[in-house]
Amino acid sequence: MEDVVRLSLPAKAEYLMTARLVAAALAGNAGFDMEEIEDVKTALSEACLLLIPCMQSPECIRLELWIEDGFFAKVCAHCSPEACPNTPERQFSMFLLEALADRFEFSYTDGESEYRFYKALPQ
Amino acid sequence: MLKQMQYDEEKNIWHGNLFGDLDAVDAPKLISAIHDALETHAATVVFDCKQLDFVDSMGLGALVKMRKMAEAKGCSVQLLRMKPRIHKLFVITGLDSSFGIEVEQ
Repeated sequence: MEDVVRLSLPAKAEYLMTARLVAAALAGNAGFDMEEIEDVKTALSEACLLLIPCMQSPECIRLELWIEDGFFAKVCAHCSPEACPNTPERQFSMFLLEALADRFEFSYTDGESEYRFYKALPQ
Repeated sequence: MLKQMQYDEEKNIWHGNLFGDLDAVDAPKLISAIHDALETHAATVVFDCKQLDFVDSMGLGALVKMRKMAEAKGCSVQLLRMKPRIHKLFVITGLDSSFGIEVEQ
């Protein structure tokens, strides 16, 4: 892993633009084109939107973003999958994230839910 | 988000400009604005999307809800001058055929 950008944001939709701006800057510097930068921004927003409704206390959502052979993002928060309502909005977010990322994983360990995704650098 | 809606009485059309980010913050405001507009005049809704830069799932959801509100009143929604990278999301989600969309070349 190279340099890692770490963000800790209040778990509110108002702060997602901040995450998107940082992601866009990283992806742009790494050589992603405009369309792929938009994919990264949308995927990151969706990963956050999958966690925010599950959080029961006003905690922060934590992001780690880095570049290797592509854009990597890890978004995690203290919440349980059981706390996540399986709404159509959630399914829609999941669908978009899976469609826009080249790889996508979810894990739950020690009370921490974590979404990871990867978007490959253009050839 | 949405710049102020304007009603064209002669053509019975609501006009508006979408700009910036249409996300989880602005989606409820858009739904509220369209609800109020359609309650005032049941008319076709036309949005200029030239300055719309970003849409997430909540923004797409708001546009779907808006379309349903318009259809419930016998009206349609047109999204004009949409950027190709935003249109891509409509294609991925299969929503492209549900709206009248004109993509900016």
